[in-house]
Parts: sequence; structure tokens; C-alpha cells
Amino acid sequence: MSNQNLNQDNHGHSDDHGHHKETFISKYVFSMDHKMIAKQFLITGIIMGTLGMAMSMIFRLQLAFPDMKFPFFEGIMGHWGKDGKLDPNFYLALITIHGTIMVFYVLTAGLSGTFSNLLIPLQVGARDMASPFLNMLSYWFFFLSSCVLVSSLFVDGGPASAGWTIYPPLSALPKAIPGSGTGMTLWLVAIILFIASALLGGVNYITTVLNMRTLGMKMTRLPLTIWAFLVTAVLGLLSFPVLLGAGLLLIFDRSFGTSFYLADIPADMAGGIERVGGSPILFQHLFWFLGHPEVYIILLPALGITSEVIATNSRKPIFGYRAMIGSILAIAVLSFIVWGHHMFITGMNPFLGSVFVLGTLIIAVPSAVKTFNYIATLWKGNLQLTPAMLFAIGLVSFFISGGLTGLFLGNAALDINLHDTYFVVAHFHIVMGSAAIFGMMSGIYHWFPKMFGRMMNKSLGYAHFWLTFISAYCVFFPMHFMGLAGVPRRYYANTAYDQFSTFVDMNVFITIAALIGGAAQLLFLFNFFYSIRKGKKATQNPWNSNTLEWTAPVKHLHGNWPGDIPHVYRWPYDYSKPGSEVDFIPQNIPEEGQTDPLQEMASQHNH
Amino acid sequence: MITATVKNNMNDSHEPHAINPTKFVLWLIIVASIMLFAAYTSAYLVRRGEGNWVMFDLPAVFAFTTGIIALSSITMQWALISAKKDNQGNLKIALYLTLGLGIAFMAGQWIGWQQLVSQGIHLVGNPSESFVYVISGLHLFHMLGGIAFLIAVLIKTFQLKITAKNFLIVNLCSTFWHFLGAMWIYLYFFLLLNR
Amino acid sequence: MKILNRIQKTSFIFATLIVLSLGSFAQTADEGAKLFSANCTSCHSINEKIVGPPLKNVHKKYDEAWIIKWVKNSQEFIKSGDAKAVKVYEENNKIPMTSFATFTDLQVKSIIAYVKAESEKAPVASAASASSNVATDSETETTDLSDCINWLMVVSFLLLIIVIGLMISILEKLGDIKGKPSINWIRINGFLLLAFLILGMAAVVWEFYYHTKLTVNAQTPASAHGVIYDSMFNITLVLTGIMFVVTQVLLFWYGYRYKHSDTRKALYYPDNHKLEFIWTIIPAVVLTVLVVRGLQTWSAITDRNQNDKAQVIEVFGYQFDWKMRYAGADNKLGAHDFRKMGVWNELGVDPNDSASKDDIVTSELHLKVGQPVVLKFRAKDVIHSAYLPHFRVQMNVVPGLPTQFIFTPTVTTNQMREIMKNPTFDYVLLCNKICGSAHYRMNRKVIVESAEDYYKWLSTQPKLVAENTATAESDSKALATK
Repeated sequence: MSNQNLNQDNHGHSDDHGHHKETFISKYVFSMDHKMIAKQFLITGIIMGTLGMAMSMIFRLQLAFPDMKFPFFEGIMGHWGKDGKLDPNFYLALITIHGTIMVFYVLTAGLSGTFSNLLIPLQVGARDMASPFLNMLSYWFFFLSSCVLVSSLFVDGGPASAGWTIYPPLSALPKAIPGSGTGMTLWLVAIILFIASALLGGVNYITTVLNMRTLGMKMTRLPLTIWAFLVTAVLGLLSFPVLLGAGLLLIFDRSFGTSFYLADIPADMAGGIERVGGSPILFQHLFWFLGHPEVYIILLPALGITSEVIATNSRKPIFGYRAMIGSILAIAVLSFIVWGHHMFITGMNPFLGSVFVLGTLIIAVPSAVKTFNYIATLWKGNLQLTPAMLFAIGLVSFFISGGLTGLFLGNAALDINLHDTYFVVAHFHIVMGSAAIFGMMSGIYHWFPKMFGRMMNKSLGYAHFWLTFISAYCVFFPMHFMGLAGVPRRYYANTAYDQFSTFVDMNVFITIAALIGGAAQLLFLFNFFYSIRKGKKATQNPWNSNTLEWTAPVKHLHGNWPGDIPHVYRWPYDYSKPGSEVDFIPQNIPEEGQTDPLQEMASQHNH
Repeated sequence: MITATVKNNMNDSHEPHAINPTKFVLWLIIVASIMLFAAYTSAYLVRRGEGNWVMFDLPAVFAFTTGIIALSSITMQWALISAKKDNQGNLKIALYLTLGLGIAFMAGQWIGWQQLVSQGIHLVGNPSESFVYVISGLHLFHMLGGIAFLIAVLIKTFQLKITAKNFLIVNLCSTFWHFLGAMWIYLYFFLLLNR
Repeated sequence: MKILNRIQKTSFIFATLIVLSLGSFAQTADEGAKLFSANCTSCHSINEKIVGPPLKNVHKKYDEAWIIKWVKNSQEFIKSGDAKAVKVYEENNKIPMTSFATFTDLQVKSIIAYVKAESEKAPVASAASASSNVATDSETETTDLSDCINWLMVVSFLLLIIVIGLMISILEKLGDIKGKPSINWIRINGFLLLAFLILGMAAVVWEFYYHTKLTVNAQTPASAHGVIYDSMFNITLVLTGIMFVVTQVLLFWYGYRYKHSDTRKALYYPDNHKLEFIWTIIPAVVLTVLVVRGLQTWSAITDRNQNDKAQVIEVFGYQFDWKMRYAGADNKLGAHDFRKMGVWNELGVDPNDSASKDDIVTSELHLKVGQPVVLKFRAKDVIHSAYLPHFRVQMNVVPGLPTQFIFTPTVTTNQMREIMKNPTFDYVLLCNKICGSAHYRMNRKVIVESAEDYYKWLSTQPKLVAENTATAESDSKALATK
């Protein structure tokens, strides 16, 4: 292929970028190279994900076998698992930290942080991020934040236990729950550090996409991954400051005696100061103003990755490229006016509720368009069923299943009986949890060769996919029925109301499925770390893909391309184009009669 | 340092864009800050709409500090113009003036808080009272960043690193400074009108 | 002092009524059982640790006087530096126990008697099962057995995964030796996609068949608005169900049908505006139906005009229990103030307000069938959520922010028992917003009954502000000594 030779031309001046010699520290630790930072994000994310998953295993055991004793609980949790019984307070701590880790640390930083960092400069054709230094800071804030959160597991009173949504007054009054003491303080510190990381990252991503595209890379030639990352970063930039604001006011309530979120709390509950005049609902408004866009901050990168993986492996252009961009933008805009659907039963004005219903259900239209476009892309394709492709198909399946249940929850009337039940747990674990994790997995299998220069083992990948896919459905699908029976979420055990005892078998089934799903991740972890060192050597463009990252050499260079950055002549989805011998035409290959955009520009200047 | 890698490849061609990446980064940071203040002012309005809201007068000194910060924006602009004209003397004077006014503003805010306390308005109390402290305090916190930036620019002027051809940092600093000024003026009138 | 006296009476009268009715010593334990289930079960059980420690044999560990002191005000007791008290506090992760200052010594003693009786029961049962191999009282036995089976299943699945991994690697090594891949993964995965579609759909059908009957939607709704709720639910279910089947079938079928083949080339098909228009319009139309129907249902349920004829009942949530306050004949709740909340007056009702004179505080929610009711929600400490799934009712219970829900119960408890063919069925009021360690136990029975039964029950419930001055005086003395 000619594109592979392109980079080797003009080799002369390239390797020397005037960089001083790299030491171990500057290369692996305080690296400013976007590819290394991406790997740092990924590995930190995987470690946090493993921790979050392990927590879910513990509370799944508790839910399935509320009467049983697990002696190893005492071994791993000390006095919180005394005599093999999980402490109810620590149960709440586990679900809180599980949620926090999965939402923020794995699916925001681990997913968006990894792939935005890896792909933005490579796919838009830039040497690095606009500001490699801020990029490095972004990772280290994230790392510090992870450390603070993990350290909160070991403090007196336990980590934050008010649910990942930390609604005050529960999160504001240490007397209400032991986790609202030091643990909650550390949670807030961790989240503030996290927000700093997300903002620094986001600022960089936006600037790089908008200002540093290579010549010819018009916005309408950007791969859909980049569109997704760009919109995600904008969402983060607009919504994370609001969470910061909400958190600061909570800190004031907790530590300085104000009552922004506290009303009618007697002095003996609230550290000796009577709290009047605040509004607990105010926090929910601020929180969900972030919280709902956050759902799309998680989901859009996964959908972007899926678009890329499905097109490449179907050997077909993505169907309706412009409609895909349109729906990403529509979802992003709408995501800012729907936060109230998390609060239908807080006693909000019914008319306000109606407005939120309207906004929420409208989001289903662009989501449906995306789904149909994915399916149309598969139609008459020539599907390379790689692990990445399977995970992408899995994502679409989850996106459908979970998206449709959203139509129940987004309708205020139906939400009355479904709010905060297992139906909600099922809904967001499918549409946000599983779908986004599958997007992340898809990305890891697809871009592993780009990250580590080696291939992951395919067969283990298949086993990983099928076990994960089946067990995820087995875990979350039955939960809908529990929710419809009125079983509330965040219950330590379903033993207190007789009717719930009918779900004992189902809980056992779910837990077993979860344990299998958890075990399947061991296959992934083994495959991942083994392949980093011992995997098969990767070729430069193992998936015959069109995007620019595959024109860069396998061995990482600081600056990405040894010669000039390739110029771009076409959109990224020219797969199986009629008239072409091979079934892919990379973006840097000129169309017939097309001149170099550089010359074009020069000639325009001359006129 | 920030753009080191990028600048090393001057022969790279990019899609044309209108704005310097570093300046763009600054604008994005400003947008994030605006969102933070927007969150607080809308929280303020939402909470105020619920009733049980204690009314009180803003300290008189806030009117003065508003004037001071508006004035400092003018001197900052003067600094930028001087930098463009390579007028090192005026640049220094303008920056000193801005710094002085900035510090005066911060001191003024402090005095304002003391006036509030003497009126019996404390941080701990009705949210209307707490909000004034938190909102002005958050702005003051941003001011610290602005002052630090200003000092960094001053140091650069003494190193004679700012010329008519290389005044980006002055440009950035003035953008941020104007933002701080505009933000306070907005907050002042917001608090004044929505008591 | 008079105010206090009155407030104290609330629970005191309740207590004296019980205590006076005691005929024999044996009944003490019965009384204790009632008190125990009304006050203690959210945090304690006999054999298990819940929030507080198990109470089995607590009468042997501590003397009666100590226990009484602890129950009435444990925090004071801890502060006083009692070594045992401090130890208990620290052993239980420093979670303070609610003070039950309203209990009389006699009441605490009756609870101890109950705990004693229960403690003695438990070992008998286990001794019986231990002495004979035949599982007579087999509840514990069977759980142990099924647990073993579960564990075996988990372990065997783990082994299965390892075996799969090993097999794959062996097969691959064999393939490497022959020089060509031994497994056609594309084919296998294609078939697996198809198999997943078929088996998955079968599983979904099975689930709907077996599990729908467990859901509240499968039962007759117990409230007037439940009917429109259920019809809205069914419309959504049908529409989303069609979308679900169509899209999932296409997705997996295409995954199977168009799996890679060397002989075929993919179709270059980047765009079709007509198609895209169609599948923007279809969801838009479906959603219009859902939005319109949904908003109609929503406004019908939240309609506030039915307010005036509805009976007023206050539902008060606190960690970790509910209390109901009936407005009495005037259908007006007495004023309340959170500053008045305390161990003597949990709900903080203002006894001076004339409207509170006939208010009645209860632990169960009894409703008259066919009578519109407005539940007014109030919380003491953190956000709770009152959830009555059988009535399709839920509303957050927020400290400092009164909320309400208006509905009409239409099916009595007895009727529902018949419909469900379950003689022990009871409606329930659940807490559905995370509120602390015993969140999962924070529920109360709801009973819907005929007006006759309702008034019979209500008449047995003590008035909030009763006229028995004698008990009030003894109460105020108790307070004065504190």
C-alpha cells in the first residue's frame, strides 16, 4: 500500500524534534506524550474498574445470601465484615464507592481520558495535544483523586455511604450515617481533584480538535470518534463546574455551619448549629445538571468508538455520517434540559415535570437514529467479527435494551412507581454501565495494537466477550422484573417485606451470573497484561482501517509521524468503494485529480 | 513549555483557524468559570423563589470596589496597548496600576465582609447571607489567580521579554483580567437587584 | 410545664394502656413482643446483627437496671463514662442507639422478657435439628444445602472458564503447528450471534411468562389512578416491545447473515436520505403518542383539584421508621415545629394548636376503601421516600420541604388477599430513598379496610393530646429528674 510508504519519505529531518534525552521518569511517569498519558489513564482505569467490580461481587453475595456468613469478609474488610457478616453501613459504602468508581473513574476518565488522549492527536493529525503540560497535569490530578478515593476506604467511619449521588442531608450529617464523616470529606476532595482533571483534559481536547487538525482535515472529514470526543469534552466543560459548585456548597454545609441544603435540622443532629432555610432539593438540581450530561459524557465516546469499529469491521462506510453527527449534537444539547427527570417525585411542580418529560423523550429520536444507522451499516456488509466488532455489536444491543426502558422512566407518570427501584438499576446498568463498558472494551481490543504495538489474543477475546455479554444480560435483565415488583434499590437485604422473598432465587441467579461475569474479566486482565509483553507483534494497519492513526509507525514516536504529518484528502469511511481494488482507502490518499491542499492553499494565495 | 512540542514543527501545516490555541484554552477555562458562577446565581434565584429569604443591604464598599475593578480593566487595556506599541515604560506603569487596583479591590472586598459582619450578617445563617459570602469569596479566589498571572507578566516585563511581536502573555492576562472585572460587575448588579 | 406534660402523654398513654391491660406475667412477653416489633426491629433482631447487635441472651450479659438505663438514653449513659456502655458503643461502629425515653421501666422489662423468651427458643430449635438427622425444622438446613449447591455451581463455572481458556490455547498451538488456523472464528461467532438471538428471545419470553406474575403490574391496581397508570404502562410496554424485537432481531440477524466471506464485497452504501427520514419520523410518531398519553396520565395523577374532599393523613419519616398522624374529626393536622421534636414528641407537634387536640399518631397506615386521601409527607432527619407500590404511589419525604400525594385506595386488604390467593398478603409502605443502615427495614404495614373496620381500629388508637393528667404529671416528674 502506498500509504505505508508515504511516511517513510522525507525521513531526513524527522526524528530530531529537539527533545532532550528521555529518562525513565520523563518517559513513563511524568510523560507529556499523549500516547503515554492515554496508557496511564487506561491502566489506572482498569485498576479502579477491577476494584469497583470486586466491590460489586461482595454486595452481590450479600444480596443473594443474606443469611449466610462469609468468613473471608472479615479477612478483607476487618470489622466491617465481622463474623463473616457484611455490616449494613459498609454495604451502603460499597454501593456508593462502586458507583463513584464506575461512573467517574472508569467510564469517564478510563474511557474518555484514554481514547480522547490516544486518538485525538493521531486521528486529527497533530503532533500532540495543544498543551501537553496541562494534559500531564490532567492525568496526575486524576491519579491523585483515585488515591484519595481509595484511601477513604480505610478511614474511621468508613468511606462515603450516601449513594454516588450524595444527596444531603444524608451526606451532610455525620450523625445520620457514619460514612458522612471523614469518608465523605475525602470523597468530596477526590471529586474536586477529579473535576480539575476532567476540565484540564477537556480544555485540551477541544482546543486540539478545533485548532490543530492537519491540512485537509475539515470538520466534515473527522472520524465519528473525534466528533464524539469533542462533544463529550464540551459537555464536561459545561457541566463539571456545576458539580464543583454543588460540592463546594456541600463542603460549606458540612464544615462551616451554613445551611444551603439543610432545612429544619435540629442543632444536635448538625454539629451544634441549628440549620434552617436551606433546600435539599437545590443540591439535586445542581447535581443532576451535571449528572445527566454525565450520562452522555460516558456514553458518547463509547458510541463514537462503536461507529469507528463497526464501519471498519463491516468494510462499509458508516451509514448516514451527517445524521450521526447531527444526532450527537442533538443529544448533547438536549442533555442539558432534561436533568429534572431524575427528580419527578421530589414534589416538583407537575408542569415543570411535563417540560422535562418532553425533553427527555425527544432524546429518544436522535438515539433511535443512531441505532438504525448502526444496523444499516451492518446490512450487506462483510463483517469481520473481531472481538472489537463483537463488543461493538454488544454495545448496540445494550443501547437498544437500555434505551427502551428509558422511555418508561422518562415518562413522569410511569416513573412514580418505578423510581429508585431495581428497574432503574437495570436500566442504567444496561444503557450506561454495560453499553459504555462494551464500548471501552471494543476500543481496547481495536486500538491495543496502536497503544502497545502488539495484538491481543483473539481467542481469549472471544471467550471474554461471550461470557461477559451473556452474564451481563443475565445479571441485569431479570432486575427489571424485581423493579416492577416494587423492590427498592440500595437495600441491604430484601428480607424485611414478605412479598420480596419470592425473589430469593432470582437474586441467587443474578449473583451467580455476576460472579461468572466477574471471572470472565480475569480472562481479559490476563490477556491484556500478557499481550503487552508477549502478544503477537502488530503490523502498522492490522484492521485495514482508513483513519490517520494507522499511518503512524507501530513504534511510538514523540511527535507521532516521522516525517510531515499526512494531509487529508477524503472522509474516513471509504470502505469497499466501487472502482477501488482494495476495500479501504485511507484518508491521506488523494482522489484522482486531487491536488495537495497545501498547494491549493498556496495557489489561492497567489490569486 | 506548554506549546513546546507543537512549535518544534514549524513546517507542519494545519487547517486554518482563527485563534491562537493557548488563547483558546484560556477562553475555555473562562467558559468553565462562567458555568460555575452561573450555577451559583441560578441556585441563588431558585432558592430565593422558595421564600424564607432574609433581606439586607449589600455593604456600601462593594460599590467602590466595583468602580475600582472597572478602572483596573482600563489600566489593563492600557498595558496591552503599550505592549503592542512596545512602550516598555507605559507598560510597566499600567501593570503596576492594575496590580495596585487589584489589591485595592481585594482589600475592599475584605472590608465589605467586615461591614456585613458588623450588620449582623454572617456566613452561617439564612442562605441569602451565606450566598453573598460564597459568591464574593469565590470571585475573590479567582482574583488571586488573576493577581498571580499579573505578577508573572510583570516579571516578564522586567526580563524585557515582552515586545510588540511577542505580547501574547499580556493579551492572555488582559483577557482574564477583563473577565474577572466583568464577572464582578455582573455579580454585584445581580446581588443588588435580586436581594 | 403543661405543654411538656401533654406532649409526653402521647406515647405514655399508649404505654399505660398496654401495661394496665396486663393480666399475668406471661402476657408481659406478649406485650414485649408488640413493643419489640413496633420499636426495635428496624435495628435489632434476636439472632442477627442488623444495625445494632443481636439481642439474644442480652438479659444474661447485663442486669436489668443497666439495660433500662441504656434503652432510655444511651448517649447520656455513654457520656457518663460507664465502661460497659462505652464498650457497646465502640463495638458497634459508634452508631448511637435511638433513645426511648418514653418507655416506662415496666415496658423495657416486658421487652427484656420477650427477648429472654426468644433467646431460649432459639437453642431449642437448633438442638432439635442437631440431635436428629431428619430435618424436621428444616428451614436452616435447606438454606445450608442450597448454599452448598450454589457454591458448587460458582466453582464449577470458574473451572469451566479456565478449561475454556486452556482448550483455546491448546487448539491454537495445534493450529500453529499445522501452519493454518484450526478454528474458523468468524463462522463460530456468526452462529453464536444467531444462537444468542434465538435463545435470548426465548429467555425473554420465559421471563415474561414466569416473572410478570410477580410484579405489581400483574395485580389489580389497588388505587383509582392505578388503572390509568397500568394502561399507560401497557401501551409503553407494547410499543417498546415491538421496537425491541425488531431492532434486536435485525442486529443479530445481520451479524450472522453478513459475516465475513472472501467471495463477497461489502456494499458501498453511505447514505439514503429517504430511509433516514423514515426512521426519524417513526420514533418521532411513537414518541408523540407516548408523550401525549404520558402527560395526560401525569396530569390526571397529579391533579390537585380533588384536594378538598380528601382525608388528611400525615406520614412522618425518620431513621428508620414511619409514623402516621391522623387529623381526627376536624380533618386538620395540628401545627408542627422541628424544634419541638424530641424523644417525648417525635413528630414535633405543637400541642397548643387547637387542631392538634384530636390528632392521632399510629404506626400503621390504615385507609378507608374508596375514600380519597391526601398523604402529607414530612421527614425528621434525612430524605426518605414513601413508596406504596401496590397503589402506584411514591413521593419523596424531605426534611423542611412538605410534599404530598393524593390518591384513592379501591381494593381492601382482604379483597387483595383473595385476588392474590395469598392469605398473608399485606400492602406495604416502603422507604425508597437511601437513608442509612436500616433503610432496608424501614417499612410499615398498610391496611385498606371498610369504613366500619377503619373506625373500629382508629378508636383503639390513643389521641395525641389526651386528658389523662395523672400520667402527664408522672411524666413531667421523670423529665424534671433528668
